[in-house]
Order: sequence, then C-alpha cells, then structure tokens
Amino acid sequence: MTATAATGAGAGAAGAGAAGSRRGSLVRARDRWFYLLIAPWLVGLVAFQAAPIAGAAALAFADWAPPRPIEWIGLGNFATMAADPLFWRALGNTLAYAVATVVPGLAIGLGLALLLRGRRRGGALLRGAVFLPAVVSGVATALVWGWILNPRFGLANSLLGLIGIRGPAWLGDPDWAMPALVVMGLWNVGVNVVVYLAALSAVSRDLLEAAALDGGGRAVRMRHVVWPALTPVTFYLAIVNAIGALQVFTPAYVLTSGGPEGSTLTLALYTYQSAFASGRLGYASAIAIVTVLLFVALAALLFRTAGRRVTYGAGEP
Amino acid sequence: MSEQTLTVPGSWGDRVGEGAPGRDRPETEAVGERIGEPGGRSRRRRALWTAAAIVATLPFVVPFAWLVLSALKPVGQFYAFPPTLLPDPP
Repeated sequence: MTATAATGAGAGAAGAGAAGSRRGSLVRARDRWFYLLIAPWLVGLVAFQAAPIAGAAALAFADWAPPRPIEWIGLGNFATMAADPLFWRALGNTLAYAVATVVPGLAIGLGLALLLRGRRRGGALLRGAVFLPAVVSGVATALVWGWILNPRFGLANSLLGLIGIRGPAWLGDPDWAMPALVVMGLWNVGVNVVVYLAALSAVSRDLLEAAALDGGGRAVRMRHVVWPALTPVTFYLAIVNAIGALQVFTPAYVLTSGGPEGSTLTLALYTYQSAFASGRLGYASAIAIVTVLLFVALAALLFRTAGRRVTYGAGEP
Repeated sequence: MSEQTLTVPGSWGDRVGEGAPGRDRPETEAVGERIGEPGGRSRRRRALWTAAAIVATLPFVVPFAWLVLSALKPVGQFYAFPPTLLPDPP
C-alpha cells in the first residue's frame, strides 16, 4: 500500500512536473510572440527616440560645428551656458510664460467647463467653439494672432480705438510681446475644458445629493465634493500644461524670432537658434539637456507639493 | 416628478439644490421653491446662462472668424485701416 501510494505520489509529481513544464513552455512561447509583435515599435523607439536622446546627451559634452570633427570638452558647454546672458534671459522668459499660462489656463478651463456643462440648447456648439483653436495648427494660430495684433491694421488695436485707447505695438514692443504670446497660449485652453467636462460628468450624483440633503449649498458642494473629485485631472493638466509651456516654440519662432530685444526668446527657440543658426550643436544639446532636467525638477516639485493634495476616487460613491 | 419637469437635465449643479442666483441654499428649500417657480424666472435663468456662455465663447470664436473672413478679402481690403469685418464684395 505504501509502495502503491509512493508510486501514485511519484506519478502525481511527474504529472505536475509535466504540467508545469507545459505551462512554462507556453509562457515562453507567449513571451516570444509578445517580443516579436512589439519588435517594430521597439526598433522605432530605439532608432528614433532613445538613440537621438543618447546622442544629444553625449553631444552636450562636445564642441561640434559640422563639418569640423567633434571635440570633447567635458563640462565646457555648461560653463559657457552659466555665463551666457541670453540663456538666462531665455530661461526667465520660459518660466514667466509657464507661470502666466498654466495657472490661468487651468482656472479658465475649469470656469468654462462649469459654464458649458450639461445638456442645454446650443451647448454642444459653444463647447465646439471653445475647442476649435485646439485643432488649428500652431503656425496658423500664430499667423492669425500676428494679424490681429498688428499695430497698424490689426483687429485688437482697432477695437481698443473704439473705446479711446491707443493700443501698443504688441509684438513690436518689448513690454507687450510676451503678454501677447501668453494670450495666444491661453487661446488654446480647449483641451483643459474638455478634460474638466469629462471629470465633471463623472462626479457622483449620490454624493452631491447627500451633501445637498445635509444642507450643503452650492459653494459647499463645490468645495467638498466637486473639487476633490477634480484634483486628479487638475494635477494631470498642471503637469502636461507645464511641460507644454516649457517647450513653447512656434509663436516665438513664427512671429518674433525671440525679439524684440530678446523679450520672447524661449529655451526651445534658443536651442534651435544655437543649433541651426549658429551651428553650435554641442552647445544646443547642452541647453536641451538642461531643459529636460528642468522638466524633471518641475515634475518632482509638483509631485512633492501639489501631488499630496490630490484625492483619488473622491468623486465615486 | 415635478422637480424633473422644472430643472434643466444633465447637469448636477442645476439639478441638485440650485437656489436663486447669488445665493447658497439647501436642497429642500430650493426644490420647494422650484416646484412653485414661475416659468418666467426659469426662462430668465436660461437666457442669462446663454448670454454668459456666448460672451465667454466669443474670445475663442472671433479670431477664428477673423481668419476665415480675412481669407475672403482682397489684399487691399485686408491691409485697410480701420479694418472691415466683412469682405467687400461679399
């Protein structure tokens, strides 16, 4: 009996071993198929993203102005950058643009979403109108605003003239050029509005009704029910908008080329000018690396500060 | 049932405890008032919302309309000052 039991146990173990081996080979086959199927994407990722990023990181430590050969200079580009007033100007302008567009962009997006939410007659049309600028290309947007802000025949100064105000030269005035770019940036808050509309529609009605039955008025419900439910999307939009603002390039390139007097010179534009106007590819790479580090620092700062106030799942019953 | 017929559907803010404009009142009081709310007041609120929404949307529409209308203008009219809104001839 013992022998039979041992035989049975042995057979069972062998069966389990065979099943395990079959499962293992199935997993391996599935892994092979997985890597085979993602191979085209993986090749693209390495060839067109990872390799250029690694190349730019390496070039940041070199002096290269083609067709001259590459000369490795260690931290020379970073030392040059630290003493370059144009770099600091570009950094200051970029941060100013980010601050001036991200926070008001979120506030305007939320305000418009609150105004345009729900099913009302004409509501879809108005929501579409707000989203319209987001589908227009950046160059077309810049050109339209360039015409509107033209000091001689532009619509903006013409409307200001109707109320007796003599408009500034906008893009030709060092004091007004950056505010003009900020206005153009805020024109594109349509994406924020759409994201907030989706988040508002997901707020639990049960929670709202419970708050109302407990005597909570509109402001109380907004503060204690709706706003906590909106914090995850607000955090997401803050990160995405901040990264977009730090990359601002098109309006500055198309309309002002960084002028007048460097008032609209941004980090992205200065990187481009260093690489393709001055031919200093190593220096441009160093600026690009610093910009990436700036993104990382900003994201880390946001996660450490605002990230703690995000309430996940607050809008669910 | 009466509440559903008197409120704007599909919007949490309007469906739940919406009081008079500018005031913050509990659900029961607001709903009680809404059942007896005259139609004129509801229409006024809707008109006010429409006006506010149109005004808020204008800054997004005007530049786009300017782009489209400018594309239809002859060069001389495009550079004219003061600018004209509609192309001539239309």
